[in-house]
Amino acid sequence: MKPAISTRYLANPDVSCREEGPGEGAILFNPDIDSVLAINATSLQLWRALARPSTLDDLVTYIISNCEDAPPEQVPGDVESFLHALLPGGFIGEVLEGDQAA
Amino acid sequence: MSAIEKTVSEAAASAPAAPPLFTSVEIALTGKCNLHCQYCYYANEMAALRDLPTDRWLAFFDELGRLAVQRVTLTGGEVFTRRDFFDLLDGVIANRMRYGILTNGTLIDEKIIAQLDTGKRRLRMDSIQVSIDGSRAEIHDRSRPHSFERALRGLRLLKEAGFKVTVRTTLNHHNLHDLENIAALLLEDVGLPSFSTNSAMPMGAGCANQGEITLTAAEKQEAMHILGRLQEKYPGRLQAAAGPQANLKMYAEMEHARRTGEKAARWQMGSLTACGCVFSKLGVLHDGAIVPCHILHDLTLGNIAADSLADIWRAHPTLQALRARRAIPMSAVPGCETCEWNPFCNGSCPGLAYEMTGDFNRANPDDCYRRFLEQTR
Repeated sequence: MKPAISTRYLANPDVSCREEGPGEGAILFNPDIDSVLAINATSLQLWRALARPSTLDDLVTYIISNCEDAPPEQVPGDVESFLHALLPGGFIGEVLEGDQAA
Repeated sequence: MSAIEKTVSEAAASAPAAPPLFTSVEIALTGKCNLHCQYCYYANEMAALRDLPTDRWLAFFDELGRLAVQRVTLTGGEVFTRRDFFDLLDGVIANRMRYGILTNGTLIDEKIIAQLDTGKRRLRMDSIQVSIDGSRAEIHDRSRPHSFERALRGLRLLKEAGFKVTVRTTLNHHNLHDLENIAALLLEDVGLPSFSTNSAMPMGAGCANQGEITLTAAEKQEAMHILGRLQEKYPGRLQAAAGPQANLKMYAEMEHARRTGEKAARWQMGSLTACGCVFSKLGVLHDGAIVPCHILHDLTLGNIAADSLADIWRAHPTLQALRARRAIPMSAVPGCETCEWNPFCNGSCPGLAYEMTGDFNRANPDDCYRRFLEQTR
C-alpha cells in the first residue's frame, strides 16, 4: 500500500543502531521483538533523518539534497521501499495525530 | 538503494579481519550466593572479588548501549541476592538490550514474579534459566545443598506465570541414575517444552570436589546411553551444548567422518575451531574484570572502570591469540600430533583446555575422544 502523503514517520527510540564504519551501513536491532536488520549507507542516512518526524516527501527531499549520486527519479520509490521494510518490524512507526512528537 | 542490502550473516561473512563488535556480554553481577554448590566453577572468584556498586554497573550498561550491544546474560553468584537487581535490569532495558538470567531459582517468589512482569522486563527477557539437578531433594541437594523445594517452587512460579523459563541439569556422580526421573519431572510434571544438560566441570569448587562430583569416563558413557533413550522418548526436548549429550553427537560425527570421509557440516574439523565465543561475546566478572568468557576467568583483559570495551575487543593480544587458534591444525597441537582422530577433532573448549593444561592452544582433555575410548574400552 502506498504511504499517504501526509503520514509522518519516526524512528523507534528503542531500536539500537550499530554503524559499521565511515561510508558503510549499519545494523538495526529492535530489542522488543528481537529483530535485526542490516541497512546500507544511504538507508543509514534515512534512519538518521527519521530521528525527527518526517513525511515521505521530507525524506525524498533529504536524500536528493544529500546524496549527489542518487538518481532523482528513482529516489521516491526507494524511500518508499525503505519505509515498507522498516515498518513491519517496528523499526519505525507512524506518528499519530496529536502525538507529542508531531 | 534497497533497504535490506544484505542479511546479517552475509555481512558477517564479508567482514574484515577484525571481527564485528561483540553483540552480547555475559555479566556476573554479584559474587554473593545463597548456596554453596559442590561444582560451582565460580566459587573461587566469589570469595576473592568484591561486587561493584549500582552506579558503576549502570554506567557500564550505558557504555553497552552506546556500542549497540544486543543482549546480556545476567548471572553471579545468585543475581537475586542483589537488592538493586531490578534497578540494574532497568538499566539494561533503558539501553535497548535484551537479557537472560541464570539463577538457582531459590529466591524466586510471587514478589519477584510481579517485578519481572513490570514494564518491559517480560518483553525483553530472552529466557530465565533455573538449575535443577535432581528429581527429589535427596539427590538435588547432594550437589546443591538445602535448595530443591525452593528451586522447584521458583521454577513452577515462573512456568505458571508464562515466562520463558528453561532448566539446566548439571550431570554429576550423584544424579546420573536419576536422570530419567528428572526428565519426567521437568517435561511431564512441570511441563517444560525442553531442558538442557551439561556435566560438572573440574573447575572452581568442582576441582576441589572432583573425585566426589564429576563423572568418570564410564559414567559419561552410561550418561550417553541414558540420554540416548531419553531422546527417543522425548524427541527434540533434550538439549546440550556441552556434556555427555553434546559429546555423544560430536563423537558420532567424528566416527562418521573417519569412516566415510564426509566431514561434519556444522563444525570445522581438523583445527582448533571449537569456540566461537571470542568472535561475538565478552564476559565481565563481578568486580568489573573483563574476560574472554567466564570459563577463562583468569585471563583478565581489563576492567570496565578503566578500559574501553571496544578497544579491548579490537586489539587485545589475548583475544587475538584466542581467535588465531582457529588456524592451528590439530596435528600441530601438543599431545595430538600423532592422534588418529586429529583430522576429525576441533580441540573442544579452550577454557577447559586452559584450566586443565594451562594453555588454551591445546585440546580440552575432558572431551578428548581418544582418551574416552581408552578409558571405556
